[in-house]
Amino acid sequence: MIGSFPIENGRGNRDNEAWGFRYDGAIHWLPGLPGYTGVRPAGVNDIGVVVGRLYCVVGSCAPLPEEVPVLWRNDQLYKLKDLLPPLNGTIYSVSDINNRGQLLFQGQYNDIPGGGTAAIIATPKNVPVGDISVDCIVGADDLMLLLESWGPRETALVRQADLDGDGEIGAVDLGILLGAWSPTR
Amino acid sequence: MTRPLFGSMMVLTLSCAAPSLAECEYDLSAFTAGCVPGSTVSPQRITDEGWVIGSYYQCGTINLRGFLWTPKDGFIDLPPTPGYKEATPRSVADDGTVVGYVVKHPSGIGRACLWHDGIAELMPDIPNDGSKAAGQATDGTVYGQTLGWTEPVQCIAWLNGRELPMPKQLIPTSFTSDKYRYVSSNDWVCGERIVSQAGGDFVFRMRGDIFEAV
Repeated sequence: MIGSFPIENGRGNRDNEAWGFRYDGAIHWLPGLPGYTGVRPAGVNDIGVVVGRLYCVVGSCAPLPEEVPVLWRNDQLYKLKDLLPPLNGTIYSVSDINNRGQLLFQGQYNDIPGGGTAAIIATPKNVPVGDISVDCIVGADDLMLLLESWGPRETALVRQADLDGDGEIGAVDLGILLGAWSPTR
Repeated sequence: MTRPLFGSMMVLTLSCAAPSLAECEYDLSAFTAGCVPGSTVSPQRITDEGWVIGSYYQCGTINLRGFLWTPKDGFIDLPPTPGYKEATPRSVADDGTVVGYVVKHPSGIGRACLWHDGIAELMPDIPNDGSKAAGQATDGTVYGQTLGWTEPVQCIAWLNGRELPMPKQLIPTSFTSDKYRYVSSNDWVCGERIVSQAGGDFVFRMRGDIFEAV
């Protein structure tokens, strides 16, 4: 679960200044960056990777941009502009992330005739088999997710841990993951 | 699977439990409503199949409509039902069912609805009030909220077009305002309770018999 709480004595008001969190049985406050007074998550996948934005009260963080689209993995912050390839256009905001690691944005995409705003999808490429967390390495976090999801796919914590697609997360999936083990890129 | 194998894997886990710091490289793709000149597209959610829902302004108009986009079929308009002017999808299930709400003009009254194959179906009417749907669980239960026109905002859920009983933790009072906000792909239903003035607000998630408040 993701959400945000208003900041007591914040410079903004309840609706526009708040700090975001992720909840998985315990609260994890999402880190921000210096100069930004608000954190607003927008989407989360079953793995717990969160997308959203950092923001400040209008004008208060100049010359920094007033909003920064970001991603949090293991509660570590990444600026999305540092992850994405060059874009002939502008990212306005990030809306969601799915369990395949695809990111959904609103923005300007100048390669499409007609103009206007577009829905932009960023799809991870060269994702190895066994990479349940979709960070393009097969390592300890994938093993943890597989073990935590052990059992029937339908009730699993992370359904994509069913690597062989047989509806059961078990020894065969574990073998696939270990066979693909590549904890560095 | 045998227990000895499981145990040996736990040893491996403990020996390399540091979180990775890598990220993938990405390919970019985009779509619009196909209007010339362009209109505003506001994507909301993306499913594991890559289906996207959101809202957009119908070409050359200020009519807010819903859309479903799939890699196979492209951009599909989700219209409001007759008598309503705007449509706003908020969630899409694995079977392609979209839930959200439609709005009447000029009253602004909203009503929860779902779309099967692009055709809208209204949730049951709530006398003297409106509703919005926020998400749908795997069993087909639609979760949402009333609009609070005459009573405080309440959580509401429907299954097969019938309203379901409220969880005991969300029985409304005159001081509370409750909303189901979204349903995760693994069926956690997430929402909030705002308690007027006295404090005691909380957010919650629930699944089956589990109810956790923060």
